[in-house]
Amino acid sequence: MSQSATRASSHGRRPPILERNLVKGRTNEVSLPAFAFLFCEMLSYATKKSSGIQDMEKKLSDFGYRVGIRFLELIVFRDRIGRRDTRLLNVLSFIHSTVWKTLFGKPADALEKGTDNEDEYMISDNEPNVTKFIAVPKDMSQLSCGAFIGGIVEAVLDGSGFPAKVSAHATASDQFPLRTTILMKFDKSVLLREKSFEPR
Amino acid sequence: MPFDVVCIAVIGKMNNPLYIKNCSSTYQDLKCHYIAHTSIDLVEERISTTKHTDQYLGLLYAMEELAVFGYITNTRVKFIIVTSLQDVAIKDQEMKNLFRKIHNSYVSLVSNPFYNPDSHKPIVSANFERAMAEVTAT
Repeated sequence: MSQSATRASSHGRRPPILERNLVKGRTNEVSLPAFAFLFCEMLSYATKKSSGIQDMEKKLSDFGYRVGIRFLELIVFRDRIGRRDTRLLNVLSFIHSTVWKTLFGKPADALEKGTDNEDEYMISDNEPNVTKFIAVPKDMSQLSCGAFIGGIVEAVLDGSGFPAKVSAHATASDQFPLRTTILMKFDKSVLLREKSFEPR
Repeated sequence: MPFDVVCIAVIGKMNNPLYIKNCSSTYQDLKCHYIAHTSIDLVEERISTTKHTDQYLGLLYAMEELAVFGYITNTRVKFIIVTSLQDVAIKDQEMKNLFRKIHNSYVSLVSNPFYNPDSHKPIVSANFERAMAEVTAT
């Protein structure tokens, strides 16, 4: 889902059909404007149907969850054949690089461990593609449309056997006003399991 | 094809049966269900003892004339293939190819937005059944 610089599909300057590659290749790209329209519609549907900000974030996160479970199966089948992640750090770096690269065309910008609690980790993205064209009105300033991305991450973690509570927060900085952070709080069972792997 | 596939089973992440197909005429359906059921225990044992991070689990066990192979995906969905034992040892690579084909059709099934992978109901999809028939036919 990345906007390709060479294939400006919206301007009609694609190479003529006889000169295009026969095989579409791994990078099946969808044009960003098409996805932006779809996401706009999803947002207005969610606004209509939900009663508040929390509700709307939950709806977006549900959308993302449904995408995520299918996405996990697909990406494991295509890119990671023959390997399962059993360690927490491995799964986190999998999300940070492979998942982000396949979905958005670039790896995520930061992966941090929470300082207050043992079980919190954060992934940040300076300019997520999905929310690039969304402007949030002032009376909804608590809302973060990154909840959709949070849903995808939650599904990937759940499916791989690391149940976690995921939430998305807008942490705007001067350089990157659209910066979004995804906070993952893992279940106690995950931490216990990690501890049992340590001494080996 | 040096060996015959007797049955294929797909077991969900809560160890619920999703799809069991009996491809041979000499064994009853019930026997296939039994074999799939016992192989669940073996799969659980394999993935819990070692830090086994492979998806292909290899030969789980062998009975009178049947050999059972297992494969687990990242989302804890298990595929079981039961073959009839022949004198020639079955190569890992061939089994991995078979499992990859099953995994392929499973991924297509899950990508369907109307399929709910968290429900415990068995798989009812014409495409999936067609793909399974192809796997056993080759």
